[in-house]
Amino acid sequence: MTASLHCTGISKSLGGRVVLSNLDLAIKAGEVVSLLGPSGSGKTTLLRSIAGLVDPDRGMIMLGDRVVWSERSVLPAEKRRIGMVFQDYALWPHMTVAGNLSFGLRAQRLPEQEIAARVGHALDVTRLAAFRDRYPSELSGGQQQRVAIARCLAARPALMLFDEPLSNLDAALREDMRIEMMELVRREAATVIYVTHDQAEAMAVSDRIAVMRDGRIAQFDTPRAIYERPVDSFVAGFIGGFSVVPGTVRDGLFSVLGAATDSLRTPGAKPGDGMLVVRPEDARPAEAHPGNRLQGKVLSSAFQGRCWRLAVELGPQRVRLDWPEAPPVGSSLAFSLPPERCIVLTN
Amino acid sequence: MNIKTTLGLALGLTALSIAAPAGAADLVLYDALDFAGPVAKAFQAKTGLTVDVVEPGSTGETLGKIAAEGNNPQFDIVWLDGSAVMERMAADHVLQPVPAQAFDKIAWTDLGKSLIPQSHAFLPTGTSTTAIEVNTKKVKADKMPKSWADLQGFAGSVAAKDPNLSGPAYQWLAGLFQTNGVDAGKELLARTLTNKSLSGLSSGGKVNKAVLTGDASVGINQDSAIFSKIAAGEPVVAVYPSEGSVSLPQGLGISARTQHMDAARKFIEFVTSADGQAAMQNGDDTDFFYIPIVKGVKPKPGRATNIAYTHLDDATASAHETEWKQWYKDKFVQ
Amino acid sequence: MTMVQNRGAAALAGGIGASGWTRRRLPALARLGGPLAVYAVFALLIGLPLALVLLQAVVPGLFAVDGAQGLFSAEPLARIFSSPSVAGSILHSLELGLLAAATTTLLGGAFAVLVQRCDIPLRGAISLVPWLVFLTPSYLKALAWVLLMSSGGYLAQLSLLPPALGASFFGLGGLVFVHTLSLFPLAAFIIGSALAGLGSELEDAARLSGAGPLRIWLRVNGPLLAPAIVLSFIATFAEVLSDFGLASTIARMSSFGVLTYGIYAAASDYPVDFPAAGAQALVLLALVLLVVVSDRLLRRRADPHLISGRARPARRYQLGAWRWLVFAMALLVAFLALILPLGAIAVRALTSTLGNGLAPDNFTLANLGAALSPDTPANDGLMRSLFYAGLTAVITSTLALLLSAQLDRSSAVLRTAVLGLSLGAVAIPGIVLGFGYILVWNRLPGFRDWPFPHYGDGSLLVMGYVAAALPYCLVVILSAIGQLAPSLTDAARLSGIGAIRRLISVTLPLILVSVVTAFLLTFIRTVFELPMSQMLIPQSGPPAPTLILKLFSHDRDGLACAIALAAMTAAGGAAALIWYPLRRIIAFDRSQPPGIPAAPGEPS
Repeated sequence: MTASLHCTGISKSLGGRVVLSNLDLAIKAGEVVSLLGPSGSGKTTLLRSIAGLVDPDRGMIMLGDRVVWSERSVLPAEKRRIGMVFQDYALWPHMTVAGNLSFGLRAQRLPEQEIAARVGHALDVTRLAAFRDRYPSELSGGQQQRVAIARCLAARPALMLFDEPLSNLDAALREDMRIEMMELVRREAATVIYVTHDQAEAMAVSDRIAVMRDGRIAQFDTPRAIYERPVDSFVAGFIGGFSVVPGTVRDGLFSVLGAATDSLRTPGAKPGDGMLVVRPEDARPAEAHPGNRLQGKVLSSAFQGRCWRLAVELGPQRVRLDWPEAPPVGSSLAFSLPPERCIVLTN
Repeated sequence: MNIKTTLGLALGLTALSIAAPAGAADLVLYDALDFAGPVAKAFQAKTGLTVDVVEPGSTGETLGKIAAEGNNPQFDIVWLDGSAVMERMAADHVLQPVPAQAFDKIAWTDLGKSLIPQSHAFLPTGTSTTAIEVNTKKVKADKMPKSWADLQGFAGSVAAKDPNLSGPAYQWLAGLFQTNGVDAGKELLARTLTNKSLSGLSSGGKVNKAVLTGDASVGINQDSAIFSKIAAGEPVVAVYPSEGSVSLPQGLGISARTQHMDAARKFIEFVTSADGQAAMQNGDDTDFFYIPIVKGVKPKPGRATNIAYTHLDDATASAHETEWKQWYKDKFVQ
Repeated sequence: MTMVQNRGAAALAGGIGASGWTRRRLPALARLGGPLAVYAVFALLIGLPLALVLLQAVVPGLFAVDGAQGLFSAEPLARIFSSPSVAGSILHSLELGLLAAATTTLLGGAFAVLVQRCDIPLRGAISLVPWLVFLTPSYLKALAWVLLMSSGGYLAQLSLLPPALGASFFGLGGLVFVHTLSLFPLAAFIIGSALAGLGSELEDAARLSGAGPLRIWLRVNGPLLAPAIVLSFIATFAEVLSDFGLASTIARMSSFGVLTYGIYAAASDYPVDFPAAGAQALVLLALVLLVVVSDRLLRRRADPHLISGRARPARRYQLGAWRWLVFAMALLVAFLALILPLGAIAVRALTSTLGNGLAPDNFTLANLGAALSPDTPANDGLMRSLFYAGLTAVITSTLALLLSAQLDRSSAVLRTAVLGLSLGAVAIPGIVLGFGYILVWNRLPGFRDWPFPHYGDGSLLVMGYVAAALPYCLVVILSAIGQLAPSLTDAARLSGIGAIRRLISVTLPLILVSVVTAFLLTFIRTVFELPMSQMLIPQSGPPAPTLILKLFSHDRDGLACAIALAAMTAAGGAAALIWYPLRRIIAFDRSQPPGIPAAPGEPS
């Protein structure tokens, strides 16, 4: 009972400000797609539009082969069979866990056995069976989040929407919950749209990521493709850890703007001004690629378990590199970048 | 759905129960007088006709209700203190003139005859006047005031009603200006009503309270109210000023749109009969102490009737109404 | 706990996008049907009757006896403003209103905090005090203070009144004093109902930041309660503006003329000067709207949502040695607001004459006997009033709930407008609304022939009562609904729950305390609601207030006090009968989460 989602030409303005601008989005059934972007990029508005909690100004939204929203007809939120996990979980404080799960099912007039079966299954799958008669205020944050997911699962919706569900959890719990959540989701083979501002999270869970900026989708691709080939400097800058270095390409050689360093070989790069994307894990010892050698000053170092993350100064620019040890602050560091890893973006 | 339907049914039933008219009465009476209830009961006992007695509470509210109803009055008969207001209602065609036969059938006293309005806007059923209420605990017998002019000796301790808020108070004011002259009267009041916290009271009840609690030693009040207090045992007496008191008739008026003219006529007959007048004295409240104007009817025991009456010149009174009310307000109230 | 800003919900109005309007026809109208119906009822109940009176301030001939004339004229307004004392009256009314509103909100808020959050002894009994004070009608309170503080009154007779105090009482100070003691229950209810939803997470966060209790209240809880505090300020301001009885009784000093004088002067005669009354009422309305708009402009930050899916119950303060002082202060307030005035009323009911005061031979049981004997008109009136009051309470709290739920989803502007107009209606003396009702249902061509409700029937009286009580219910319920996180109803929508079901199963249980408060509030005040009772008195028989007032205006205080006491006991008893069973359902124990524990099966 999963469905595909097609949004075409969605536009929305709020208070004079354009929040969504002629946006298109096509999601296949059973796919997990993240909407990733900074605050104000419109991702929550898009999510709420799909849910039916807010109406766009223009466009069309189709769920499977039903039109749920167009400028001529509207299917109200109550009837769309879309489930949502809210940022604050929105558990009804005056109902037990079991009550929270069964409330919506009763409204759909399912037979009692069916309700009991679904509630039981959802509780088992989220390992909440022991808590079924507790009230939300008696549960921990992680447990509340599981209840919110269980509520969504029990309803067997065609589409599941997650609105930053992990942002209220502490870091240690976050990864565990994320893994558990996605296991559940994959098992049910649900179509999921996942809104987050945390790129690592988005990368970890999604089949595809839509990076949003100012009401538009900047890049819609698999995590790997975004990682390997960010389409512009905004996307590149948004993927954590990347450093974006401005400079100029001439004759296949990239020279860093304002830095007295050697040029780098960047095969395939267009001539003219551009931005070099430097991934931290691309840093190699200076001898590995002598043609692409750079030298800079170490500004800071942070231990990350597997390696050190260094902030290195190249003239007026700054890059982040992963390095096996931590040279003293202020010392000079020579490193190289593999030419095939050097991507130069034009915008 | 079940909740909604049961709620709906419950509401519907309750609605029906309060909307059903309680067996439409033969007559609807709006009044602000204490004896209307007993009279209506006695009338029903005698004639079998039912009367809906509607009493908003005091004259002001009754007048307000009638004024708001305007040219679609919902009453058949109105029974109030005050001649001027009923004349105005007749002029607005809210009341129709009382048929002449009704007047002819009654044996009026001289006082009664003098109260019959030319326009027949209402039929007077009794009257009262304004007198000086004296707290006997505060004022010794030899220091009693005997006229309006004597009140100057009690300056600062005189309680009076605001004519802006009370029709009878305005009639008293107009009467004072008639008996003492306008300028002399204004001067007299200016010298007497020097305590603004006492000179703008909004009701006779407040005047009573001021005199009885000792805030004021004397008050200017409706004499029936004073007699009612005396009968209840309160330490007050009523003193009639030598200049003369304006009389305040109670009148019965008939609505211009009434469908029950017959019943109205019967009611008027009953009120002015011996039985009706007896019912009008069957109680202890203010209005029961009215001065009868039908021959052969005695007032309640203790009620003085030997009073020097002044007949108010209604024309002058209405002509100067706004001006004098404003003057009083500016000098003694705000 | 996160606070989900209302800004988001206000922006996402759930309404239709601007440009798509023209292309939608019936589906859109059907969706608008619900909200429109609710607003239409509000307009019919309050808007139309008031408008007919206020309109006459600029169209004086609208209801002229000899035929309506629809000409505009600025004459009534010009007349009002050309009087030299009107500027003074406006300033006095403002001064009195703002001062009394400030003291009342302070006292009411302190009381609410005291009762809900502090562990003083006799907490249960003290929590009843605001209700009992509210139960006493204001005309009774005015009488009580006159009986107590007059130079020949009861306190003077007991030699407990220093003469200077007695004289200075009857002025601005005394008036503010009596207003505060009389209106603080309203502030306590409004702030209390918001306080009930305030969990302790934010307080705990502040404690961990090192803030002491006072600072927490000033900087954390106080600002979170700001919407409720402002609301109670405006509501009490409006109440004080509309008062004439207390002002004319206690502040008889000439220098303190208030605006309502003009309305009562216009309404005391025949013909009633509707244009003048309308013009003065317009000024009162403008004053309240002024305060409402300035609040909106000053407080641009969105109202916080405190009841979300993650609240924790509030903890109670342990006051230690301070609890006795606080307890003493609460007792003092109870004494001044309740025991002293009721004592004076009881004494008056038990004495036969006013002039003989507290002399032993003046005491009698005759009044009480007359009041309590069955089959008197007073008792019939009381039964009728209790029935009407119950009906009114049910209708008004339901309507207020529907209206509040609808308003919560609408824009902030609409919310401000509706609230401003309701409170403006509170500021206008009830008699004006009463006139408006007569004008609509007896004169206006479209309405006067409706069989239900019908002028002269109990049906229109109940409608009038509903209109008089609706602003208060709206204020109490709206401030509670405003605290619900919108995600709770959003989640219900996405679970497939329709609008009515959402209201009953999700919204109502979470704000049940405030709905019940609104219900009881309405019940109690309707038993004593005077102006509506007078203007819309049904032909089937008068309700209690008119009977009591008749006795008061004819100065039969003793009997009136006895009847009023009987009525208060009956009304209080009836309210308690409704409250105590409900108490079981409401989890009042603070260890439970706010809201009701649902029965295993949801209502279907």
